[in-house]
Amino acid sequence: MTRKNNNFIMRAVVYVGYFMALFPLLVLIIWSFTGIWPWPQLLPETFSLRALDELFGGYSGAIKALISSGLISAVVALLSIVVSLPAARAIVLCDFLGRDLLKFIVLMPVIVPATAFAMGIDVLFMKIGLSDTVLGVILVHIILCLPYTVRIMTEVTEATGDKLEVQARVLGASPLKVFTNITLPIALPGIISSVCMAFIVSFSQYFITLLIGGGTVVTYAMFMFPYIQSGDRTIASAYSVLFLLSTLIVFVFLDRTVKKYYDIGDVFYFN
Amino acid sequence: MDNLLLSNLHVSLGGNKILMGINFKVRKGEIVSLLGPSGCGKSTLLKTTAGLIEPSQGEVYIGGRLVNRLAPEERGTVIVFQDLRLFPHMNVGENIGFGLRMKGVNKEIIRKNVISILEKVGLAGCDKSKVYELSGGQQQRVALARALAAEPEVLLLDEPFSSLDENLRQKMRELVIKLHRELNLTTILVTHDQEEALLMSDRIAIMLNGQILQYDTPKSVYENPATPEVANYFGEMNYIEGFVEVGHFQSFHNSSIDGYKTSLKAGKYSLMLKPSQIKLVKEPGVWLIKAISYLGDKYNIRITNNGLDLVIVTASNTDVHIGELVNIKLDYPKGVFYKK
Repeated sequence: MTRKNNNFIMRAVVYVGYFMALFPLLVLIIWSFTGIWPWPQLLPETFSLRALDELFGGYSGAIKALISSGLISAVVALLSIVVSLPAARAIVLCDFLGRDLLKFIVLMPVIVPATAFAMGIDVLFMKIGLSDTVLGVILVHIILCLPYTVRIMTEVTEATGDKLEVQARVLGASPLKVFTNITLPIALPGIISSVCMAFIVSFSQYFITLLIGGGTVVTYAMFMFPYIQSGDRTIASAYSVLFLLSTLIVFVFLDRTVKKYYDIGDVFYFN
Repeated sequence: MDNLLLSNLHVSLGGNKILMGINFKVRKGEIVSLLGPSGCGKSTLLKTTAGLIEPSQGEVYIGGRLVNRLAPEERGTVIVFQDLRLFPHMNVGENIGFGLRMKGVNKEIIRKNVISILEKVGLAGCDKSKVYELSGGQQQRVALARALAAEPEVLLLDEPFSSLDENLRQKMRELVIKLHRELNLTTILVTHDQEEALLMSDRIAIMLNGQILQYDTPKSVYENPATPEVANYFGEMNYIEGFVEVGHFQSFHNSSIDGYKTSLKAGKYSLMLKPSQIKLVKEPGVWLIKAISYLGDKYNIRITNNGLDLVIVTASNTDVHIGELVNIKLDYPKGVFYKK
């Protein structure tokens, strides 16, 4: 196989991949503006702005739910990181009894179905009064996000070790200055990944939020799912597109802003 | 005046005793080497001095004050590690200025310092470069500059040139010597390269198994090693067993080695001679040449007679062959006698 053929095939694969990811999105967008779209036709028969009205109009509360969801997920992502970074450093840099077991236990929320343990959590929360509260929902979301964030931060910490921190200390930096000048900037690519991951996991939660939040805590996902189930494709598609757009905006915003502030390129692991 | 004093230092790591009773003094402005094989504890000694490792016993004094309780950032010691550890998210100038920035020094002063140090190490104009854009040699110089810019009381270098090729290593050695002359900074260099230690130090401390065996000027350590272990560090040595009786040393190998008049007390001795201190005499003799190694300017020749193996050195323009029988002449005055 010549080099040129190889190149062509690789590019073809990439473009097919792009297409397969973006084409369904395109279909969703078209559906959002559809009035009637009977089966054999390639394009909708009529167009309508019904969905826009539904979403942004006065009665729906969809935008409110979007904002409050965004805030809840942002808090979840932040708290997950606050827990995961020190945890990852401890797992990688300290040797303690049960360390390997801990590395496995942290992954449990992904292995064990959420519905299985969420019931138990709900009963406990009811007893201590966290059921039907935003705080309760945030706490459970954090549990669901931790496998990802701890894992990502552990990998990142393993790649860099504590060598740079040691060097910074002998150069005269106190432990706090080491953290802000060395640890945090170096871990930043990992932190961005973790925050995005945690945000999307939390933002997508439906059943858990319903269970723990008891219908009192309303998130955007909870708003969206009934429409998807209902069969009203126009509105369901509109909600989905908005969902995708919001998460995309969050990702891009985080990525750009933080990288610009720290003036770093992409990931660099120095050894 | 002693700038650094280690008193009865004992250090254990992970249950193993690494340093056992180290007593070590360095004068202000001196440059000393810790020389020893891997695992002898020299890096541990360095890290304990800097405060990265806590001793189980003993005291560390820097500039006259007891620093046992002080954190690494407060001791006034800076380490340059073998793997350099340049900060990848900062450019060269920010790396070098890091030490002073942590002290809270004014930005303008830091900038001037950085520029001046970059010139001293031959990297003028590189202050805005990214660290990963530099070559290995340039990165070495940045690491050195960063340590110097932090204005330490004691500079600690942990095998900083081990990973460099010969050419670069020489250049870096010259740079360190030059900077040391300019700044008169107390420096401790950890190395396993005996040539480096001999070349650069005011004094050398030979370490083995967590203890300092000898601590003296390069000439003394090289020509009068205190023990065979110290001698062996500088290369393969010849040991001729024998005894002294009524002012005369005789080796057990009566026939092939001449005796020697000496004022040593009677007893069993081990005579140590460097390969260069046994001359090859090109006449038919009793010593059989077993092997010849070519080393550029010289040959390393292994000879044997009656069960005794010796290593001798001769210029590479000598005509020698394996299997040849030759004679030798011992340079007794240069040898060192160890009493058994």
